[in-house]
Amino acid sequence: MKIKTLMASAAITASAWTAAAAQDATFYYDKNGWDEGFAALIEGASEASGLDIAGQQLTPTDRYQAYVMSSIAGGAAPAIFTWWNGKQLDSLVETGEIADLTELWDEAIANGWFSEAERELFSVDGTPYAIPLNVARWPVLYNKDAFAAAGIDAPPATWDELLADADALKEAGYIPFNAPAVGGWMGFIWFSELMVRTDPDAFVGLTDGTVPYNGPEVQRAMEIWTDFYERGYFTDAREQDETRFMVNEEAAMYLIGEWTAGILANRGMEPGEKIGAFLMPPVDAETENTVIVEAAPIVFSADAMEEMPALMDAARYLMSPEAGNALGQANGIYSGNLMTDAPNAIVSDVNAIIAEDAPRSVVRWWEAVPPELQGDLVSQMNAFMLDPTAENAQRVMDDMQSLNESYWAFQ
Amino acid sequence: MAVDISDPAFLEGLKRKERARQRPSWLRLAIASLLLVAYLVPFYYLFVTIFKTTDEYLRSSVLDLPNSLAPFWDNVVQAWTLGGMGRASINSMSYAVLGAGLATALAAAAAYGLTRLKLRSANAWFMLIFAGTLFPFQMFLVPLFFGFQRTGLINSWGGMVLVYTAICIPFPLLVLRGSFGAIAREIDEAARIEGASEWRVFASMIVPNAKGALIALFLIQFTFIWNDLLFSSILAGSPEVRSIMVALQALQGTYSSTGPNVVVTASLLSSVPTVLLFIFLRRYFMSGLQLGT
Amino acid sequence: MQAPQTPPISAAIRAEAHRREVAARRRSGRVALVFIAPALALVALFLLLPVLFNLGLSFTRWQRFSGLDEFGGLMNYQRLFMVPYLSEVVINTAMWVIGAITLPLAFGLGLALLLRGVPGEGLFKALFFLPRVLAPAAVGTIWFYVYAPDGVINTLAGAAVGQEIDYGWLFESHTITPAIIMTFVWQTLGINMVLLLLGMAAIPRDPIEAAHVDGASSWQIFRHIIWPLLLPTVFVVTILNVIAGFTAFDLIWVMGNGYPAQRSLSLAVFMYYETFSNSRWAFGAAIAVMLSALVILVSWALTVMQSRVEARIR
Repeated sequence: MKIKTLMASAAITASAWTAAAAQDATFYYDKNGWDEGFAALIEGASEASGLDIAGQQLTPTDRYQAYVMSSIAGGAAPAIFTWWNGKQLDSLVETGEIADLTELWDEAIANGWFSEAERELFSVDGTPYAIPLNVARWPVLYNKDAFAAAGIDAPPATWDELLADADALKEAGYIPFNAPAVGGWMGFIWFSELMVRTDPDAFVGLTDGTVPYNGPEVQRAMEIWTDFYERGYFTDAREQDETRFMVNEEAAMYLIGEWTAGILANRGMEPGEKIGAFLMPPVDAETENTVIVEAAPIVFSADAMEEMPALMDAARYLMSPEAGNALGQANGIYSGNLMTDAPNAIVSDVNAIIAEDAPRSVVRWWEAVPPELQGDLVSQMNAFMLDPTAENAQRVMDDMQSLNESYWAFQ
Repeated sequence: MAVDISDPAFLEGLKRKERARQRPSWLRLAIASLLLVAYLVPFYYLFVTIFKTTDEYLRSSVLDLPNSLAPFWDNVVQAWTLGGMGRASINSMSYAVLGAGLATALAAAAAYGLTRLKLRSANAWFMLIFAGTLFPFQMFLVPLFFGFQRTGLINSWGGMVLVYTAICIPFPLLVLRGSFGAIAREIDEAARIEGASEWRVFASMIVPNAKGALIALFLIQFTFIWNDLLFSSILAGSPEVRSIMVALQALQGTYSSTGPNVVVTASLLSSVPTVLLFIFLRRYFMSGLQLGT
Repeated sequence: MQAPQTPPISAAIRAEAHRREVAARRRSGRVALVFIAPALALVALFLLLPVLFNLGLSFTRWQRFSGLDEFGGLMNYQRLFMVPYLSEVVINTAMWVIGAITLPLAFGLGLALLLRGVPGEGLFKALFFLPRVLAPAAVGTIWFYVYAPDGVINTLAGAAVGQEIDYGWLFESHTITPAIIMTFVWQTLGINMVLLLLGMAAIPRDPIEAAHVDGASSWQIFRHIIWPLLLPTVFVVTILNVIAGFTAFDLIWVMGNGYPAQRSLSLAVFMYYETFSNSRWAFGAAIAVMLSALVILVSWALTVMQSRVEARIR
């Protein structure tokens, strides 16, 4: 009977659909374009643990988050997955579904793989719950040829030098800064950098509700931002190709995470030869030297860890210098492991700067801000970039503060 | 009104009126042609852009003709590989063929059950199935996302086929209920007396009688599934099962550093199957529209 | 069904016949259910059950990681009215609904009247219809660049006025919605036109000829003969357009990609954003319920109007 064969084949395909169940564990991630590196990490983790671990990429980021959140709400956290640190990690750990990794970190620090500073980035109330996939600092990347053409021989060390260099670049026909606003998230980049360069404490205060978004501290940062737009320092925020103006060499500098060095390298701008990096200097000489750090954690489900103790071996491998080097070689990503080789010249430049200046590191605004506020606030910042006038700056600040106020009022 | 139709003056007048009604048709042709040209400007943009390199696109005016036709192939290759369009188009093709095919077949079976057999309260059964289309799609998103996540159907090929099939059942059912109902009763009564099974009556008497409607319905549902962004963006996020429209959107959206020439080429590629179907099966598309009303 | 002809039939035979007929009808009904079952099962599982589930979810406190099992009452429905940019959402949605009802219909009707009897009518129809078979996501992608600061619209307008224009149609709050609606019109005008032409083809020629002979003007013929007979088609088209306007998503999602307040561009997009970007699941479910209520209410009202009009014609 035809119908019977049909039913039988349907049953077979049905079992094939849920093929993921055949694996011991699945490693979920949303990082686009790091496929080669993830393949290497997953292979190494499988080998180290003896488990059959499968990789699974889900994009875009918001849908990925939705997937993880609804999995946890339904009582089944993925075994291994990438997440964000800061408040994002706080609320994830609050669910009680995430494995405590204190022992592993003790071991890693004893091995000299990481320092206490990194441990702090992946901890909630002093307990580490995650291991680093990537630690990225946020320098200014610059086009070395453009600097040479404008007669600049060294990256700026003070705010006045930064302004002078920007003017010199304009004079030489460049737009000083590439500042895209694509993908709905990039608005916070200049906002938080200017906050950090004028008042790092106030920057931290913004993210815990103690500093208002329309107070004098923010006013000052927004004035500088507006002024930079008036001076013509920024590229058109409506451009959708985020590295276009860097690649076609219309813009000379790009304030962004160091992982962008890999993207620029793919588009023909070799880190070290064509591209250099510096930390943006503070606006006032007395402002504390600071660097913004973005840390991408990998977390483990507490249940899965209990069921499969071998997962801890996978975690140990993922923290190791071998894993760090694998990711670095494949995609130019820096894991933050002190015993890995810097994957490119930008990372080694930034390592050198940090070793010399020992700046205070602060968690990136995106991770530091409460997740419920993240989207609403950043869309205001994007709106400012599209209409960078003083009146709009005031409106944006007031709107951000009213959102901020109502959020903290309920906490 | 009484008219002497043999009156030559009256006939002359009629002829003049007839000519007067002919003349504006040329004026109307001119206006229509002008409108059409304006209407097709985006297509002009599409066709000059797919032949430009990224560099050429960024340096020339969008309306300029391309320097050569050669970059087209490179744009296709880039769209195909960068956006993962190859895999995605195979996925979407399978969703669309299977989803539309299954939905039309199941709707036909249900319509047969509703119209040709003696089912008590057939109307209520029909309303029950048809109620599925009363709601805007937004009503299904949260439950489907969560339910698929809980049952492991999320990011699975089978889950996508099932959901598309379900969504595409009510409308064909509405149409087929009408067309099956219009087929003469005698056909199947006679077959039954001769001892034909219900399946035979359905498959070899009723279905062939509604072939046109079935093809048109398949085309409508195929186009819907192929074009869908909403459901696939929520239920199929992994690269293995991603649909063509999600791939297109990913190419245009975040983290992509692809030139407009590649993105526009990708949107052309993503439209090829439906446009081809339209060109070759236009007759069925148009009759499908009549079914819709 | 014919009753047995032979005159004297005993009650037993009659009862037997009746029993058989009932049995046959039952059997037929059972077979019918088998034919309906697969369709019914799929629809029930993937469409009807989710509707009920969605309604239930809208009364929970579910957001982000938790709250799925906590009853929140009408919390999510009240929350909508506390959204600071609610007025933008409402205004944009209203623009969509009004625009989607009137514009494709008006342009489609104009075009249908213009094209009727023009040489090459078939080709015109096909070309005006063509955008309809393209995916909204593909159309949105192309039009995103058409409206870009260095795009087609600005280039043509700049050439017309003789100076460079780099207006960001999709980046300004007062042009983004009209701009996307125009793209929607570009895509749907063809189908409106074709449906209206089908409606017109069904109108008998005689009264129109007679009116011509009587010397009626084109406008009078349209107003008093064509339009009333076309009204039922107009209603069908309008209902289709209303639903499309309320639920327009793909175009806005693709074309509003660079706009910071994208979530406020329509109720459908707002629902999607709150659900899948902000992970406010229960709130998203509540917005979906309200959207459904609106759509059903408006299409019901239109259906009632339609049957009234049809009754008047007859």
